[in-house]
Amino acid sequence: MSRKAFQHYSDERLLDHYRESRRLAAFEPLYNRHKDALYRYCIQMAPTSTTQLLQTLWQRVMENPPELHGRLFRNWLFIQINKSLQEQTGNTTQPQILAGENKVIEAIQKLPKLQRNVLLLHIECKLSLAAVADIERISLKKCREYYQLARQQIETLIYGSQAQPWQVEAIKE
Amino acid sequence: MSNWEHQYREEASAFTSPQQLDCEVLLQAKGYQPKKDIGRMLSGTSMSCALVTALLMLAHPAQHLGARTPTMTQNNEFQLSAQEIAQWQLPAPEPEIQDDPWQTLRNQVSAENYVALCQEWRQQQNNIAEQGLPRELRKAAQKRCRILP
Repeated sequence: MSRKAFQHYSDERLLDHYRESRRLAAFEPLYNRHKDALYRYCIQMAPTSTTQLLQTLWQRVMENPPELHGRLFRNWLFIQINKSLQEQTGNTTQPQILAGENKVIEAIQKLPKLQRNVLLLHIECKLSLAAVADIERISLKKCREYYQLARQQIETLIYGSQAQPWQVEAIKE
Repeated sequence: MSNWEHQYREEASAFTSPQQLDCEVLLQAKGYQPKKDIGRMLSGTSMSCALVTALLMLAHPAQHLGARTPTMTQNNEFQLSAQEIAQWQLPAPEPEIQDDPWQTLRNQVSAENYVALCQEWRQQQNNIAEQGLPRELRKAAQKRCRILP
């Protein structure tokens, strides 16, 4: 089977094929499809250990391709990387590459960890809020609240606080 | 999508997986050998065995030399043929086909001419005839000829 044929396969079909054959041609498209999103998510959550976390994750996929049981491979990847991130606590060093002219990324970095995770999993990793709620083990309602709160905070950080109504003080003579 | 989300996409697009990481992961993936398919291997082995057997059968010298057994050397074969020549005899002559002496009489009977038959019959009855009539002619004579006193 040629590499071109694999390009049209879904993630799950590719993973099944890789589990059976362990062919690089089946693994490569899987890796290429998700590597950037995973990297962007990881570097905003744990910048100092991104490379190590990603290497460990992909090694797990290679050594023992997961049984998805009806789940999407994309969801499985982010669930696993999230578990690994939660095991790493106390590392809050901000990387130099994220600073500078990236105003929105800087604003996201200023969010509390939980809100940042909810926001990134939804807008960067394209997971549904229900899936994000499952990952964070919170209710969907709470997850929505965190997401909305994160959005408002970013807007405030970028555009400033909302304009207050005019208050005209009476000039005392 | 709000303005800041567009801006985020632009900013985030600059962050891509580093080449070094990609190389390391893909190099590691190359290290995993494809699983050996035992069914296919067995099928391939049996096919190649069958092919070799067919080739051996086609290319075996016995196909061209008349399947000689090891003891059938040329000398042995020559001795055998000399013996056969020494023991050879003329084939026995085939027995000549004799003419049927009763053929004329049979023809006459089949043509319903019983004169000659009855004459022969009388001669036989009087013990004059040299040979007895054949069975079917005797029966025909018994039916057709009267024995005169």
